[in-house]
Amino acid sequence: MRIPEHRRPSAYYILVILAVVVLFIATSYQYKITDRMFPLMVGYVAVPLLLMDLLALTDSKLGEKLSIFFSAKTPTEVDEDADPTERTISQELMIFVWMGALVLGIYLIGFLPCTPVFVYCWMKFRGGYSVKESAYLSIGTIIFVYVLFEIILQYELYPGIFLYWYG
Amino acid sequence: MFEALIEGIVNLSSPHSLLLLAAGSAVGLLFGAIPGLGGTTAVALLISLTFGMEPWQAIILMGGVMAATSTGGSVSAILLNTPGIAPNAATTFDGYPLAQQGKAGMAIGAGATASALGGVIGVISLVAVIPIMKAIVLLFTPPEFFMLAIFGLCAIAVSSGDRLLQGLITAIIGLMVGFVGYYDVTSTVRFDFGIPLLEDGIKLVPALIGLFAISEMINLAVKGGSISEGASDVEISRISDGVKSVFKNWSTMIVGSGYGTFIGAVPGVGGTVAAFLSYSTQAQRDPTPDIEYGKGNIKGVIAPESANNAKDGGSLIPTLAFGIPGSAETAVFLGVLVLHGIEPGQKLLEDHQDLVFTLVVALTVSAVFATLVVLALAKYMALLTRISVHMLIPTVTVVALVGAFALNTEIGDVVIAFIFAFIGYFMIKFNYPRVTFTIAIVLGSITELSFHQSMLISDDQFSIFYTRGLSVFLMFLTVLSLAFPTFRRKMKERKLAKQEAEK
Repeated sequence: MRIPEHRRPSAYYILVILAVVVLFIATSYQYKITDRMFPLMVGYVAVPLLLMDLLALTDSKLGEKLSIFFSAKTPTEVDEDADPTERTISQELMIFVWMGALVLGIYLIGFLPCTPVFVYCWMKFRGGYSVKESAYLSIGTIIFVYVLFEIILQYELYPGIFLYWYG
Repeated sequence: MFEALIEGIVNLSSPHSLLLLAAGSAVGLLFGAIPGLGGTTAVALLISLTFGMEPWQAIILMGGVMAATSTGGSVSAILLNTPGIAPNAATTFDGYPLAQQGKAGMAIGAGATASALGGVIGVISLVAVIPIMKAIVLLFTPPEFFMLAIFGLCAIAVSSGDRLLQGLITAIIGLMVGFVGYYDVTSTVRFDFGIPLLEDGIKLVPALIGLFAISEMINLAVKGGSISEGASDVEISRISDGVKSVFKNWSTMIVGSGYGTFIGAVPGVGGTVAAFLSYSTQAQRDPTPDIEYGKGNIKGVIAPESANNAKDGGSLIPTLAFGIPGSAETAVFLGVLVLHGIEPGQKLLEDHQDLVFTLVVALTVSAVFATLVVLALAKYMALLTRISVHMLIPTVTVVALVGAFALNTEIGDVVIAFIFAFIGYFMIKFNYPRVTFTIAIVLGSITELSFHQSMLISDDQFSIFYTRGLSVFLMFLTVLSLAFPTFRRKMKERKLAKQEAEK
């Protein structure tokens, strides 16, 4: 019984969810019976479902039977229907870094400076647009955000931790 | 009821309300026409704009979005063979062949008119069942509410494509997310792991913004390229022929709308199933068509388009009556209602009928408005689908994060949106349904509350769930919904075996 190479990322995903569920169950025991009763019921239902989901990924007969029992498609049929888009880990990591940098930037310097910088850098370096095109869209976006949120809706956008520190 | 309807019309008749409706419809059309975005993303993005509004104004804006999305999606389905949103997929079968035959205008005219009429029929059905809904809601006590929530979750899990196991897992994880934070029955803070941000629970709005708006952007960024690679020049003429064809084939439109309303009312099943069922029923009702289905039959556009707009009215029935969302879009809409202090159920149907009718009027006017815009601007809307993802991703991401922050002006909400964006991305990648997850988060507290209330009523006896008629009926429906995929597979196997034997 083994999990074919192409289904392993799905298996890792299930294992991560399983770890979260186990942590959830363990944490539940800290609470009084009334507080933990329903969360525990839910948590204990999740464990066998996740294990069956994991088993269904294997190339065994049991895996196939489980898939058929629980779903209208076998793993092979699911493989055939899978999104053909190739998502390499490096591609994903790169996007995660960009998004993480945006959130970190917002935390450090706030929305107003971070917005045009992010839009400009994305357009220029990921989209391959010219300096002029990137600048136009970044200026357009910050004007939109400022006018809509600060002027019309009168929200005070987060100024960044640096501004908090330096008054 | 009549006074409430009048109040709904009055609410919508001010220039400010009409502007909100037009803005909502325009956003709905845009997000509907651009594949990969959709109405849920639009509703999630616009939540932050409603914070300072009166509840009825927020309802008008959201009603505009919800009614216009699938109309917008039909344009890209017909012109580019790329459905704007999933329910428009059935429209491509005959819509795109019609466009290839130079009858794009006719297909768009028929699709948009069927959408408007379907939307209106769906809303009329909603109005018709409101008095009955009030009576039905009164029959529900905590055990019935608990079983209804469980049925809703299972039905939604089953509807998540052909992956029941993944649907159920997602529902459970969603419930777990719903348990985080302050539990008002026992006044305890649970599962906060010492993080102050989690003490009040995971806030729905930033979570939804991350789950739908930002995760879609991450997915587009990883996939790269442009959204659609369709033909650049499409001739659009004979729109009026399309409009006339809907009235000529009125029975197709009525049957499609009926499917949409009925199926839309079943939690989680939604527009895609309604559109496909409506299409296949139409093909079966018409065994000897003038033009074969799949080769440019106009009825093949009318049937799914009327169904997927009629489902808006249908899916609001369980949302407004029980707080059980009929679709992801209505789950986010439910979040908007809760945000504005409106609780679905008997109270809403009795004390806030004006709001229900404001929504009804907004949905009706928006369905018609969106159709008129599509008929006038179809060609330009098609160009939207060719926007580069590199223009869309940074702008939508930034606006989404600002929206997440604006709710409580708390930077922690940006972090929540960011975390849920990654959860959403991995759910897209590994084909776990986000709709089920969202609805489970929304239902988490209601489910636990009704469970505890049932236990209190029954002195901790679980028999309360299987000794009451309505509760048993809902339990039966739950089992039936779980058995549905196996039943469908057996039917498919039998059909294939029969075809093999005939060969």
